[in-house]
Amino acid sequence: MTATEHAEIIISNLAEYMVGMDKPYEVRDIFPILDSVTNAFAKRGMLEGMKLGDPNVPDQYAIEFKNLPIYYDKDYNLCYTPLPATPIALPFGRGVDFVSGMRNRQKQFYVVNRNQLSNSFGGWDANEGNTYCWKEGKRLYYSTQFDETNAPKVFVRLIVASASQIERDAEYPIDPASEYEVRNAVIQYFMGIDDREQDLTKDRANTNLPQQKAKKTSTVA
Amino acid sequence: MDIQEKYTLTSVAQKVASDLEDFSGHKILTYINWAKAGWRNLIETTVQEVKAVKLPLNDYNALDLPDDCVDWTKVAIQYGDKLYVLGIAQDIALLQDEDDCGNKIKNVHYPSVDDVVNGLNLDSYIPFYFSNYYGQYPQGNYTGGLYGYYNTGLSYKGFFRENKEKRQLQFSSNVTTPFIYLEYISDGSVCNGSTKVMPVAFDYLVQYVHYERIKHRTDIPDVQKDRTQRDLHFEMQKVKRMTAGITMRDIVNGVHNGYRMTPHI
Repeated sequence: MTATEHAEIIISNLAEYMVGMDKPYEVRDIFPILDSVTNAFAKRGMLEGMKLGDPNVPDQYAIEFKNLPIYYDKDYNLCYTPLPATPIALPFGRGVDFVSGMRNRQKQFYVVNRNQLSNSFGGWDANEGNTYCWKEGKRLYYSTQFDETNAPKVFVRLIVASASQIERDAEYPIDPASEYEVRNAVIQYFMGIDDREQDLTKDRANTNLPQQKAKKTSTVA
Repeated sequence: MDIQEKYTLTSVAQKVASDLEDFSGHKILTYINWAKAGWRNLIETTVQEVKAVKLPLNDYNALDLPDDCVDWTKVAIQYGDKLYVLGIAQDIALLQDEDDCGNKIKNVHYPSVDDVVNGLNLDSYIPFYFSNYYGQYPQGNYTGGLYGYYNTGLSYKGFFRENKEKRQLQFSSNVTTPFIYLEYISDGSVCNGSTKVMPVAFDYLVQYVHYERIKHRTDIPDVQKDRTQRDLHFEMQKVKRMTAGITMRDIVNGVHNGYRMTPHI
């Protein structure tokens, strides 16, 4: 199912509670909450799988990005790709699941720890023959200098739910086994917002309404 | 994949990751580093690889020995289409003078301590007879190092001396070729992920990485560590049997065993 389909189901469930609301929820309102709930469930599910002895991350939690560009950072003298989403923190950097060139998926770029290349036995030069990459902030750096004239593109698979970043018809990375729980958690989130008490002081502050002043009481007769 | 690429240090690492059913590649670099250590260990103890390389001389006529050099075996220069082996002279000056800018000053040809062997100026022997046999000196004492070369009118090509402190070979001033051909015993430490390994050593390297992987872990029982170490030992013995040539010790052992097996009458 796509992210939009998930969001529409949630909206239809919410609809019966939204009768009295001025403005009903839209799909884009659901996306950020759906992402965060899905990520929380995904991490729990993956770590349970790892406890059972499977070090591989299930495909259900991954999203794929095609044709990501490679740029050159002059200060660092390194090539990099801006990551479209921040992956989940997993052991051994498994949040960045797979990186390769667009043309050859068999030649994998190995994901390493960000400090591993400079600490490895023999240094960078001793590891030629393979391309290594590591994540720093929102970027994915490469150990290889790519030829910019060929406009190289990379394929990246990340372990994260990011509904606004993936294509509209792409599969949303939600485990079918936890779909029901995720959906309920999102609905509960929005129901919780409705149940909140109105904060008049904050509302007045936001809309620049004049604050009520305390009455002066004079003791002088 | 090319058949040659099946036996690289990267493929050793891939085999280990595949043994552990980890197909993500996130630990490949760690395994490659261990495989490199295993390769160095194997070369140093068993295979004892000899390499021949062409290296440039630096600006003060010295040659930096490669990082993986245990000891040199032959030092030669190219003349025509042949390589000629140079000899040692222990009185070449190792401590080079420096000019005001700190640049090393090359030893000069005339007069210099580096051209003097046993107090004699060798230039008086030109044209030099490069031979293993000269007059009453059958050991080639006066050959100047170009052994096996006789009466062609070539002048002597120079000498060298080993500078162990700096891991250099210092050449005499008349070595003017830009490159030196060096044959040396390697410890195997200069290798990378694309280094090709002998097929017979592949299983040993995989086992080595498996042992390194659990060696320092505290959650692995000692029984399993011991078993892995024993398997590693057997793999090492296998590689030794398949790579090392027959030695005098093997012959002596064979004779001893054969003697024991003869029936006592």
